[in-house]
Amino acid sequence: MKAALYILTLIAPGLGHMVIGRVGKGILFMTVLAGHAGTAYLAFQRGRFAWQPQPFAYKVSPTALWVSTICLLVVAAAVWVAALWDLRRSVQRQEASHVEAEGYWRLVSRRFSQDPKGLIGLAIISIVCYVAIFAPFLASTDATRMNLRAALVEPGPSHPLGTDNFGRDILDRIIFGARVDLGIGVVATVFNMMLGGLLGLVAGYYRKTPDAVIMRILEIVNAVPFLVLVLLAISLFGSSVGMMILVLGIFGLEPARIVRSEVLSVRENDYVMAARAMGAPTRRIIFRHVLPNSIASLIVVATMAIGVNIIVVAGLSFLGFGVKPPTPSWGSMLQEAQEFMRRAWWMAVFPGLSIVTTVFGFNILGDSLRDVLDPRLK
Amino acid sequence: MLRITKVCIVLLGVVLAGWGAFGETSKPSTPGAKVGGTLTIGVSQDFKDMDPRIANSVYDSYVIASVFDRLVELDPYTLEPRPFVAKSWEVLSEDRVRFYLNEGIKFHNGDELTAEDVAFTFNWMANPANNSPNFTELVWLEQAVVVNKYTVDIVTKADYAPWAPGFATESQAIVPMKYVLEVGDAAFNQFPIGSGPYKFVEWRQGDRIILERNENYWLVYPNLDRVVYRVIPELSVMMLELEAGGIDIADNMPAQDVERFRANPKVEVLQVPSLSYFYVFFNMSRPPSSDIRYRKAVYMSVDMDAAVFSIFQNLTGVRAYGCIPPRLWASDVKYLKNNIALQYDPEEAARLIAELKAEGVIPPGYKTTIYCPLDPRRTQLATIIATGLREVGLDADVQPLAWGPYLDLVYRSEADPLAESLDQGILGWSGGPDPHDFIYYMFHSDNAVVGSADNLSFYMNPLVDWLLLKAATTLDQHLREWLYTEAQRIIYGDYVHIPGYHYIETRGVRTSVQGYNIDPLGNQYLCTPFVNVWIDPTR
Amino acid sequence: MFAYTVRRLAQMVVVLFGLTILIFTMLKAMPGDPAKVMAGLGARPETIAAIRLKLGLDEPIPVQYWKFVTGLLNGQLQAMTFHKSVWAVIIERLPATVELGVFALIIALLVSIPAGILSAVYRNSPLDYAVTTIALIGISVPVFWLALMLMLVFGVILKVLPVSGRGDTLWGWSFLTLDGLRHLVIPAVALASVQMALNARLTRASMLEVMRQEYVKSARAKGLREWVVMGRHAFRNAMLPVVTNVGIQVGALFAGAVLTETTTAWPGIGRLMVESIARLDQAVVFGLTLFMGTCFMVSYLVVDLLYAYIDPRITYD
Repeated sequence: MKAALYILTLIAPGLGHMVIGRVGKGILFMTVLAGHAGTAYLAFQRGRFAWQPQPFAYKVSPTALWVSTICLLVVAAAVWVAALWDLRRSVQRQEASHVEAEGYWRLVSRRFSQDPKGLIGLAIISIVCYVAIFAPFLASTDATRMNLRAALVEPGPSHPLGTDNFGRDILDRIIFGARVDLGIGVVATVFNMMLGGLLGLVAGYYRKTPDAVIMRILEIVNAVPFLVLVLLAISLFGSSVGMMILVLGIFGLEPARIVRSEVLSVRENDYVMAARAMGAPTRRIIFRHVLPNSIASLIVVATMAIGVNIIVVAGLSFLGFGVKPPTPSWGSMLQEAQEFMRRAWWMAVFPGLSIVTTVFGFNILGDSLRDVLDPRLK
Repeated sequence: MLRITKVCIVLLGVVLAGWGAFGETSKPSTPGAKVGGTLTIGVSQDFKDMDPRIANSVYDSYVIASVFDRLVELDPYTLEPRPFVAKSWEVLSEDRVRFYLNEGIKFHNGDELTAEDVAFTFNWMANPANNSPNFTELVWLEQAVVVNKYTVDIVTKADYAPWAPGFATESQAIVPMKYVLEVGDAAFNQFPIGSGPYKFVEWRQGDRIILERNENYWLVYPNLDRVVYRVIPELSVMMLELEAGGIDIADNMPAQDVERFRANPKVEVLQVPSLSYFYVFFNMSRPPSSDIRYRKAVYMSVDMDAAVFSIFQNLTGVRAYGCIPPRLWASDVKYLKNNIALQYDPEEAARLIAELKAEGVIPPGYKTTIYCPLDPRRTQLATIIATGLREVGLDADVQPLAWGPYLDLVYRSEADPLAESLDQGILGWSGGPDPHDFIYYMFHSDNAVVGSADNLSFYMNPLVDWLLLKAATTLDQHLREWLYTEAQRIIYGDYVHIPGYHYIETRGVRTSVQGYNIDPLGNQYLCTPFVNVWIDPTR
Repeated sequence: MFAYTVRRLAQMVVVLFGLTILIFTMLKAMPGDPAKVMAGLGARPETIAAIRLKLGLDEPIPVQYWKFVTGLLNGQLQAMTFHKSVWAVIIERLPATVELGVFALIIALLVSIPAGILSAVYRNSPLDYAVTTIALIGISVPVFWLALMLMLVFGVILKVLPVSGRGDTLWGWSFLTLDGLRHLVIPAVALASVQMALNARLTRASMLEVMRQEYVKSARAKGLREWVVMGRHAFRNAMLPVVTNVGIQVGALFAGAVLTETTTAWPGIGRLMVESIARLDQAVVFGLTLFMGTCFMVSYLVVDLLYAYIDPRITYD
């Protein structure tokens, strides 16, 4: 019986769930797989798999194509594994009559799965990430191809979201723009989590002079409006994507404060004192006690910070300091659209919606995580 | 506009007939004009200086044009100098022109405008110690000499002698000497006093400048009660303001809005071809752009006709084939178009790029950058070129730069980290109604100076140098035309530039504004011997 | 308390000193020569050299730094583009930003506090979800985009408000005139959007926190009517963090002003900042950054002290 379930799932993820009565989950798995199959079909139809020769004018690097191609397989495999694993848990839960004691993370995941806000946010972000990863498969061109004689075409069958003033397909540019915007937002955030986290750890753990120095640095950076600081730095270093990530990463030091205060409170805990009294090395104390405690608030801050970074990059584009053309980014699309506002609404509306939706996704997810990860749950 | 000359009448004298025979300053005729009302003009950039001696931005000159009077006024149609403050003039010798001033002209503070004020204005600007940004425009001036209260002589330096009449009639605004010396340059720059039709009332920094009628204007009774110049940096917002009626005149209008406003019964679109030239220049001092194949490849990778059309829609700009605007003589458009301009040919461009790569002129993995100022039009052109280059196999992107860093880059300052990566950039030039103003500055090797270059390509060709110098120092019109034509053919045959476009000055004017003319040199004249703008509230 | 204030002020001086070094280094490292911008295209090298001399750009960097700092302190530092001192330039532009910021804050508080309270009182109701969603969208919309849309809708299509710019002023303030007030609406609402969202969320959280407290429960147990409980007990305590948080938002307001002012042609210091960076007016950028930094830190300090004053449980030592 069980074996049959697993075989069904192997054939099509979600079937097993439907058999045991979990129709919703079953449909979810099947939809994801169907969507993914659709992506694969588009890739096949457009001949975009990495091993296929690309036309001369198609300017997406082979590396990027390999990444997308491999990710295609990884995601497909992940759907199957997730379906099997989830099915196993469901079956186990149906069999087991007793309720096992829940750990913190299990509790968090259960609460999260019951919070519609978080799920909506996660869904939005997953879709955007998916689009970003598979941009070369989903977009019909490389998003820089111009057709000067078909400029400002209204949304219609050939161009679902219309074309811009250079005759570039807006949908393609939004798809490829997702890579740039998400890339900058996410990498910069990871970068400043690491940098900020490190500074916070040092400040909180050693206190005294390092703490004073680091806190003053934080105050210096904090005293100037973030956008102004970034604007100065970008006009200093130029606006390549790498520089933008670096600048946003260096100046967004909010995590340092959080980690520091966490460290300060943790240090006073009995168990840390005990650990130290027993001669546990510093590194061990940090990794075993301090980091796990600050990770919850860091996750929340990071989620929100990605949204903030996307907005800041859009603001920079508006002021003319954005990602260099012709690389598509949502902010620079908005900036280019501004002049055409009264002539071609589609140029402005769709990139604008993309920004709002994505940032909204991150914010609503962060909001939900804040509730879900509330340490008082412990 | 890039090189902003508030006065552009250099070298016009050659073709001018009837020197000095004018006796009276004409008055504008405005039949049916109504007196009263406020005119609001939208201005794309913030104001800097209100002292005409140091103001060098076209936006400042809008205000200055109404607060001050000029020695002579250019006829808006023929661009010939006509009497204004000077009622007549005569050429005394090769280097000396005598001006006779109108009597009884009063500055806003009641002082009379005399020859002393005229001499003071000119001599101050021509004194290198004062570091006026307008110094170059008066570089020909030896001295302005007061003859008597209403007579002044303009003396030209010997080198510039043949051009004396042309130079001398630059339409320079006259400042009140006594007042300036009394309040000091800084205060005068903040609150100028002139003899013009409108008086300076208030300067709200970053927002607006307000003028009101000079009740005692000597020439005519100005029609408007008040004139407001509003700074609106975003062009799209300026268009919204024009549409909503928040401003009466928009000093600029992008192509995509022209059709819409033409259909709008409340707005009139005024246009005049400007004396401007926008171009892609190549850095001739280092590979790969020093290699003519590279320059040709870039040229052929772009469908320039389609590019210019997509940016201007045949409405606000025309494709350029050489640097001399088609409005001027010696522009030689037909020849340049048929024999020099390269057709869009991506295959050939790709072949050339591949060849350069094979020879190592373009190193492996090379990425070129197209630099341009933060201006939508030029950024659009740069984007089109970068895309074209990508499609022929050379990775390229666009770096728009703020004006400050951009100047440093194109001037090749040693300290500039970007200068190492300069292959090509986009810039514009605007000059006076003589080919010299364009071709000499951009291509003569004298102007290829590190730190202050007009010859941004650092193009050095002895033959071209000779032709240009010869043309600048001869009076024979036919010879000059031939010399400029030859020079231009050589230069563009070397593909030093990809000629971009000549801009067509485009303004949006609410129909209630009457008697307003668009000025071919880009200024805003509201009350002069030729116009007296008024408002018809019923329209 | 006094000792604490003194210590904080001393720290502030240290931070400001660090800020001067950071900003000065960035400005000097920036590509571009202010003298060339001043001289314009086609200027002779001699003119550029003369302007460099006048602006003191050829002096050793430490000397220039010293002149910038002392010049800023004694008010003598001259702006590079404008022929007047940096302070004069900033002060001319300041009222516009101050009134924009204050009005944005007022609008934000007027909308967000009731919204936050309602969504806390009716927790998990559709109303709560609506407020939360709108607030979250509020922080997700780029300010400049919102401003453009407001201009388009209210200025051009409905024609109920002026599109952009600052209207009539009285003694340098535009909110004193009707025309000025009308001009203020669009930029202030755009700028308020983010603050509105943040404050609504803060109010909600703080309200929920207070409603959990014993004294609210006991008030309720005493049989007081719900709105009395809310108004008298919960609301007043819940407002504490919200009101004190206003001070912290000064920095965010400055940043928002940069974009809002550029979009709506509002002549404040935010736009001055952007224009000065583009024009390489190092003196103005330097002065403005320090000015914004000082404002931010002072408001932060005031908030901290206020907090200690209002809430006796907090002591600083």
